Formats: sequence, C-alpha cells, structure tokens
Amino acid sequence: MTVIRASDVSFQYRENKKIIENINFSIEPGKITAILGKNGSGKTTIIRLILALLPLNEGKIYINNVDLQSKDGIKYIRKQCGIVFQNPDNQFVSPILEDDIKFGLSNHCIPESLHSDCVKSALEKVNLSGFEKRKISTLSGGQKQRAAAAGILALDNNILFFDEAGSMLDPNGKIELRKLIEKLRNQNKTIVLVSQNIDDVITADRIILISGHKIICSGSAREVLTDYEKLIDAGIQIPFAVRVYKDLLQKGIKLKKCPLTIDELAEELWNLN
Amino acid sequence: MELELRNVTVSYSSAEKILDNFNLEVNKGLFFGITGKSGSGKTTLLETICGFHKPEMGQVLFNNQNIYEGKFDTVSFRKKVQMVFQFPENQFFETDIRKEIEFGIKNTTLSSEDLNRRVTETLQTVGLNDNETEELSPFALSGGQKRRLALACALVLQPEILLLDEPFSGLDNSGQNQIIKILQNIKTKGTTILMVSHDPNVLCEIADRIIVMNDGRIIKNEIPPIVYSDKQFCSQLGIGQPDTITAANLLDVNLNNDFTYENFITKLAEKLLLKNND
Ligand SMILES: Nc1ncnc2c1ncn2[C@@H]1O[C@H](COP(=O)(O)OP(=O)(O)OP(=O)(O)O)[C@@H](O)[C@H]1O
Ligand SMILES: Nc1ncnc2c1ncn2[C@@H]1O[C@H](COP(=O)(O)OP(=O)(O)OP(=O)(O)O)[C@@H](O)[C@H]1O
Ligand SMILES: [Mg+2]
Ligand SMILES: [Mg+2]
Repeated sequence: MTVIRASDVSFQYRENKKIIENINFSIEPGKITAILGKNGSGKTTIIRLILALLPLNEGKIYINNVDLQSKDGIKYIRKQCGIVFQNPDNQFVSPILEDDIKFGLSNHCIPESLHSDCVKSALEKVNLSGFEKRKISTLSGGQKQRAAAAGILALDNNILFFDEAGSMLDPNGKIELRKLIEKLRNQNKTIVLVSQNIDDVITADRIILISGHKIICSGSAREVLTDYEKLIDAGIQIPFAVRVYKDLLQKGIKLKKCPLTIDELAEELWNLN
Repeated sequence: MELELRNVTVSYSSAEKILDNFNLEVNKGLFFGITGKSGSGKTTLLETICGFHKPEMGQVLFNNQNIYEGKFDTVSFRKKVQMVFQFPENQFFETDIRKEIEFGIKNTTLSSEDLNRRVTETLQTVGLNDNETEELSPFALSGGQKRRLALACALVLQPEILLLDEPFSGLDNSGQNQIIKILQNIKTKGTTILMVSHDPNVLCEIADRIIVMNDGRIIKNEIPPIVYSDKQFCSQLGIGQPDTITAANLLDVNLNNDFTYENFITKLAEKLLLKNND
C-alpha cells in the first residue's frame, strides 16, 4: 500500500540547474518516513512538489492514487496534508496565536462551535496552554516552533509533513516532539520527516537518503543509518553508536553487529566478554 | 573587562521579568556557550547586549561604557558587535547573496578590489562559494544555506564580539564542522563569542564556559565539564548531556573530565583491550 507515490520526478528552479532528477519513491500509510540529505539537496523542494506549492513539470505524483495534476488533485491533496514549515514565520497568518489556529480550522470547514476546544487541545499537545491570546511575534524561538506545530495538529490531517520542525526546541522539547510524532503514527497518520538531527530520525520506519540530485538509498532506519559510507557520501551526521563501532574497528576491536543507539552499543560491549 | 552586565533587569510587561537582576562579566577572547530551557531568556540576553532592549534597571557596559547612555557612540559599537539572529532569514533584503554580504562593509575605506576579495573569502568560509548558489537571491536559498549566509554577513565585518543565536540549527554535518572551525579560528584572533545553543555536544566541544539560564537568571557559569557531568542538574534544568557522557556512564568509562569524542574513544578502547588481555 502507498499513500504518496512519486514517479520519475525531476525539478529545476532555473534552466539547466537540476535540483532533483528522476526520483521515484513511495510512502506507506501509518508510517514515519524520513527524508535525509545535506543542505540544499532538495528535501524542502520535494515536499513543496508533493503539496503542489511548486509546479510539477516532469513526472507524476499521486496521493491515494489521486493524480496531483488531475482536475481536483490539488484540492484533494491540500485537504489530506498538513505541513509544519522549516521557518515557522512562514506558517502564521494572524498576529494572535488563537486566531491563527482558528483561521486554519475555518479553512478546513470545522464548525465554529468546536474551535475553542480544538485550540485548547492543540496547545495542550505542544505544552503551550495559556498562550491563546499571545502575540506570535513575542514568542521565543522554541515557543514559535511549538505554536506552528499546534496549528497543524488542530487540523487533524491524515498526512503530516515536519520540515525541521524541532530544530529550535530545547532537549526536552525535542524528545516531546518525537513522542508526539510517534503517537500520531500510532493513530495511523502518515508522517514525512525532515531533520538534520539524527536522534530525530532513528525511530523512523523508513529513510530516504538523497545525494547528488538522486535517491542514493532507502530502507529501514537500521539499514540506512548503519551504512557508514553512504552517510558520509550524503554528508549526513553519523549516529554516535555507529561512529563508535567504526572507530573501535579501526583500533582492532570488532563488535558482532553495528549498534544504532547508545543502549545497543552497551549491549554489544557486554556481549564482547 | 570587555563586556559587563550589572544588575540588569528587562521585562516586556510589568508582571514578568525576562532578565532578572542579571550579572555577567566577559573577558576578551573567551567563548561563552549559553543554554537553558526554551523561554529562559537567552535571546533576550543577546538582544540586550546588542542594544535592543533598554534595561529597566542596571547597566550593560562595553569597555566600561554604558551602551544605553545618551553619549555612547552607537555607530561604532554597531560595527564592533554583531549578532546572528535565531531566524536570520527574516533579516535579508538585498537581491543577491554578494550584495547582502557587501552591505555591511560597502561604506568602509576598503577599495572595491579588497571588498570583492573579502566577500569571496567569506562566501568560501561558510561554504556558499559554488557558482550556482552565488547567483541566487537570499530568499531562494534553502534553510541551511540561509543560516550560512546570515553568519557570513556578520563575519565579513570582523566584529570584536560575535553574538550567535542557535547558529547550528538545521545545518548539515559538514556545515556544522565548517562553522566550528571558523569560530575556533576567529577566537584565536581575539574575537569574543557568545553563542546560544541547545546542543550539549557542540557546546562541550567549543565553549570555554557555559552559562545555564533559567527564568531570566544565571543558574551556573562554569567550565563545560563541571556543568555537564552533573546528571541530575542537567535533567533538572533541561539542558541535556553530551553523548560521550551518556555513553561513558553507561559503559563505565572514566573520561577524566575530558568530554571530547577523541578522548572517549581512546579511553573506551583502552578499557576493552585491557579486559581482553586479562
Ligand atoms: N526559489 C528558488 N530559486 C532558485 N533556486 C532555489 C529556489 N529555492 C531553492 N533553490 C535551490 O534549490 C536547492 C534545494 O533547495 P531545498 O530548499 O529543497 O534544500 P533542502 O534540502 O531543503 O536544504 P536545507 O537542509 O538547507 O533546508 C538549493 O540549492 C537551493 O539553493
Ligand atoms: N515582546 C514580548 N512580550 C511578552 N513576552 C515576551 C516578549 N518577548 C519574549 N517574551 C517572553 O520572554 C521569554 C524569554 O524569551 P526569549 O526569546 O529570550 O527565550 P529563549 O531563552 O531565547 O527561548 P528559545 O530557546 O525558545 O529561543 C519567553 O517566555 C517569551 O515568551
Ligand atoms: Mg529545507
Ligand atoms: Mg531564543
């Protein structure tokens, strides 16, 4: 089963400057899929194409088998998808937080009688209870990112994109966002995640790695994130445990298998004796 | 003392103090990492040092002069102290990247040749020097490329004090390493750096001292090993711990207060080889 399918998609912003070239992928429902690649590799561009925020000139994109370029394609996709943008300031349309979330609710045709409850529960989810009347411009960086996420969570879309949505959060905030995303997955939502922070993507079900305008590898988090050479090739941060595994190997110490987390590393080291 | 905050109190409304009787002394050439929960006042602190929030009480002194006093030379201060904002993309206004960087230095005595060279060098140091990117408008850049540009705009001015608000967020691995090198390099040339970050790994690697903030106050101002070795303290203040410490605790490796990755891997290998020889 697939929710999003991209077939032979290429894109360039300017003549002869390919950003992505002949990309094919499919995203499964109820799973977390992470797109990884270095700065400028085209991650945000891919998301913009899926959401029809950029014109698709080469290739095809389908959401639940609906062709993005069909008559009501764009309308359908916008209803299915929600996105937390890389820069939260691109997210907001109203100066007051509560109004901003309500604006989205109105757009999604949610009855006004439910608005207050929706706002309340969305803000609770991101730990911003009591911030209803706050001017968005007065929020701290981390608060702004949480506010942006709240606006999307309120809409209850089936497919959710998080583009570096936690980059400004403090360590606990990052952990809470990861938990929230896993909870959404457990509610059968489809999640597409972009983050440079490897800890954010370790729990993904599937990882798509981009480099040099192409997908260079895709698979489970374990397969992709323990593939040292590919990660280096793509310019991605190496998980701590994988780095330790590699460096121990150089010093003549071989673990049975490459661990993905620090806990697994500990386990492998106990096994050594 | 190059920079000093004396009993500084800043608030946006009457009720809540964002900086609460804040005291800090910064010697030239030091690298301060600033960390603490979201909303603890880190951005407000940098902006206050930069001259954006006149404190209700207290003084901000730059080379012993109060920067908020009427007779203070704000024009030359603005050149010597540069800040890279938490969301720098909101600051751009030129039509291409070179112009954006040039903006800060174009009214100086530099010849146009020198000026060009300096812009090119700066683009190189932040990794934006490929031809394709150079032609773009700042607004067409990817998220990480925008962060690099913002840093370039500050670096080109060769400030005496550099204030950085989460400069690593969203940067890829090579970008992070590149910028760590730049910061280490300008530090050896005497630049004072105050950097806000939530990343204990980066802070441990490059900061001379760590300031931990909570509710507008300094809770700790210490060298990194002292701040980050106390697990309970770190979790209480929500600042996290470097991977090396988490792993060392779990694996029972003694790091002797050197939390760099190199030391960790050396000590771990030593321990394992010793065991094997038993
Ligand atoms: N409007 C535009 N016009 C021209 N080039 C663009 C435009 N928008 C993006 N680009 C270029 O396309 C490439 C891909 O950008 P994109 O934003 O998709 O990267 P990304 O993978 O999301 O990177 P990051 O991790 O930095 O956010 C970059 O090199 C960028 O400079
Ligand atoms: N203009 C304002 N009016 C009211 N409160 C404000 C205003 N600006 C900031 N605040 C509040 O002041 C507190 C400190 O904000 P600041 O931006 O300094 O936090 P921070 O430590 O940088 O947080 P983060 O890690 O999330 O960036 C926050 O709770 C914020 O909501
Ligand atoms: Mg991006
Ligand atoms: Mg901040």
